[in-house]
Amino acid sequence: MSLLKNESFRIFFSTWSGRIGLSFLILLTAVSIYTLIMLPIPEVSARWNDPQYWADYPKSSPPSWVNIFLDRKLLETVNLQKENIEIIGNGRLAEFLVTYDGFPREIIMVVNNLKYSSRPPVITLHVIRPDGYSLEITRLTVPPPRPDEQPPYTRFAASPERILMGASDDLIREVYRLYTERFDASVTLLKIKQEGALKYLFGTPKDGEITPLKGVYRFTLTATQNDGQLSVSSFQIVLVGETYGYMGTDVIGRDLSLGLVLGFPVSLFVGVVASVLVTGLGATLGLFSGYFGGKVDNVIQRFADFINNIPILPLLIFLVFTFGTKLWIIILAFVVFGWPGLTIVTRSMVLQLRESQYVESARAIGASNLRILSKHIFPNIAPFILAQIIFLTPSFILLEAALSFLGLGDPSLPTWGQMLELGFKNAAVYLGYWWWILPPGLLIVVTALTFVMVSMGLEPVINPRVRVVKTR
Amino acid sequence: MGIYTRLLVKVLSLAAVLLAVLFFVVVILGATGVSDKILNAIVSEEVRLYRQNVAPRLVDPVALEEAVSKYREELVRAYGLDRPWYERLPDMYLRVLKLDLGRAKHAQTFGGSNKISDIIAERLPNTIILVTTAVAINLLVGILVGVRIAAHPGTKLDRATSLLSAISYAIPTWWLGIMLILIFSFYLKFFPYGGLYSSPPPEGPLLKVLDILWHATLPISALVLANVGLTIYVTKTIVFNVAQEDFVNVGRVKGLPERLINRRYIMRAAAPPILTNVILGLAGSISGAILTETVFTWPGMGSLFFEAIIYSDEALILSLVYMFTLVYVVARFVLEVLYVIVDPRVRI
Repeated sequence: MSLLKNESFRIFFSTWSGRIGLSFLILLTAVSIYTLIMLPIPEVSARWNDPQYWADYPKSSPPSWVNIFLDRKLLETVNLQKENIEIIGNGRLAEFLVTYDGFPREIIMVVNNLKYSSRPPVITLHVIRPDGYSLEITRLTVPPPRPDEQPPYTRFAASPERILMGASDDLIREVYRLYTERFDASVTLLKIKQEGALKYLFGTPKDGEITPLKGVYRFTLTATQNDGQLSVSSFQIVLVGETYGYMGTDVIGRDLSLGLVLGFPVSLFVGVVASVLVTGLGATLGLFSGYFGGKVDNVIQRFADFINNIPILPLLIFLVFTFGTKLWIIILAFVVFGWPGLTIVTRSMVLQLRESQYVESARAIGASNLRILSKHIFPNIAPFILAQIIFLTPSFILLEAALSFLGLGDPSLPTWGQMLELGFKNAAVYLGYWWWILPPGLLIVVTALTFVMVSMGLEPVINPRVRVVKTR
Repeated sequence: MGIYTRLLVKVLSLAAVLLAVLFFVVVILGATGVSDKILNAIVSEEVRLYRQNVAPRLVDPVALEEAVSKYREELVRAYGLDRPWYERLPDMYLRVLKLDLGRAKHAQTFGGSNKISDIIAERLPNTIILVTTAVAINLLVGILVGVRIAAHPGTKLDRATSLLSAISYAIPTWWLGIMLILIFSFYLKFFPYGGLYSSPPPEGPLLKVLDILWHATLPISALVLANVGLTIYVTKTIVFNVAQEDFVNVGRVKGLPERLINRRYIMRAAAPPILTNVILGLAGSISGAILTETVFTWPGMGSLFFEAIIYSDEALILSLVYMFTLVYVVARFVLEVLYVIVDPRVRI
């Protein structure tokens, strides 16, 4: 391949756009490959679209790092996890230490895949507050074995057990006991219920008000079972705050960083596949049109003229709307409307090549049309075609984003355009949820820009006019 | 070919394009069963109206049902719902041409009419105002700056333009619009979030115009900012290429003043290819307006298209595809006429 020869690559790499474009392209590809390897796309996409899964996450929360810029710090969401725990007999399963200063919105315990061998265990979650007082937050009784079941008994394997504790009556009573017995505070069960037990759990009375109790909270999980073995694949405690993770969450609590990461392979796939197909079809038609001339040429050129004369986006929208918002339909629609530009250019290049002396001599020796096309004409336009693939890619990335924004994206795959659509529909712009609408758009721009830059860097390498005249 | 023959050929070919697009759309609608849905919706709407009108006169419920079902049968026959879709094709075709597609599911005019032709008649001017203003500003800035940069190739400004054009190409107009709203409406509160005018609109014609301008600033800025980089780049390239032609050097050697050379030698020759690019870019502007209008809730055809998709309003989508093609074809023709004016070679 002439492109990878040192000379061409040096010219390409000497341009600033080539250098920046190539480094970004490598980065984008690396992220996509990483995503494809680390995340099973169908499964994760299904999870992305399942509101149940995100029920415990804080809704419409900015990313945690915004606190760097804020005077009044927002409460971070804390996610504590311990995996692969095994104990024999009674004892401590896990212990979490967390420094906290504020009232969490919710506190959630998640138990995943628990196995026990003899009697059903009881799992208790305790907290020791910074002031030394200890409270029992919740108590989980694991379902006993069914009559025909053989040990080990597996529980919470198909779907993890989640317990939301913020509004539980047990916690309210515990908090009431603490405040009446230790602090002599004048509280009632009803008042705690109305204001939320978590405020009291993470607070302390001060001048008649409940203020956040700052310090280290020690959460302890203990299991009570008489004997036998107990194993849990993961325990999780989530203190839901006002911010979440690196990228924040959307209105149904989805971790936006997951959607953003999933968008990489999808976006690259749509752009590159559509571009390769469009270029392939366009170039092939152009080759035939220019080489054979006559009726073939006429028919192809009329079609190309026709498609060149219509506004494409409205018709694309129409096609995707009537035939369904599936990824392959979207790509097919791109191909249907995308080929003419390249066909016209390829044709004019082939017209010149057809009259060249080496084609004439090849024909004189009796080479077949197929041979002349593949051995003499195609190699001359190949670098140009390769450059076209890169040049066309960003336009399809942008088109897919536009369709997604209009609600015509493939619903089974999360894309940046769809994130923007949902953000826009949920008034993220008017509410100032910038973390929801800025990053996906920025990624669309960066991805498209990467291909534009590479394409600009290739321009001096593959100037079609120079190539066409140069004989091999 | 004379000018008029040339223009006539262009009119005919553009008309053929329009008709062919319609044909294509109608065939798809028929083959996928969407046209049945549209016609059924029209029939049930008319039956509902008929029932309302007849009910007070026909007290006997059996007679009423009979009359209604008889009327429905008549309608089904009249609309050709009893025949396969390909036999109805010509009828459907004419229906679309006349925009006689019944009522929109959800969209309404300001006055409350939901007839599709009324809605489009109200929305079309808004889109035209937005797109033409943006295209005009884009052209003006693009050409002025592009020509200036072409005179100093290789400078930092030149390279900055290349980068700007790359960003221009990569940035979606609609997302830029969202960002402008976030910055200038949400944080700075300089401009309204969207719409065509304040509610209630201010008194007096001057204030009204200013109010619309105030609302149009952000959408027009988005359309211009996202496209102007490309226009500058293209203009620069074309002008730069022309400026190196021999006839321009001849002019310089003759000692003509630079301004004259610019105007009469370079711009005269560069105008047609620039115009060609404007023609090609127009499709982008009209399409771009679909999303930009949506973002700014500008009551044009673009936001109407968005509503039509949200409510799955097949008839409205069909009408809008037709209207967008029509607007595009007409714009192409106008530019074709301009072409004849600027390019003397065409007139021979």
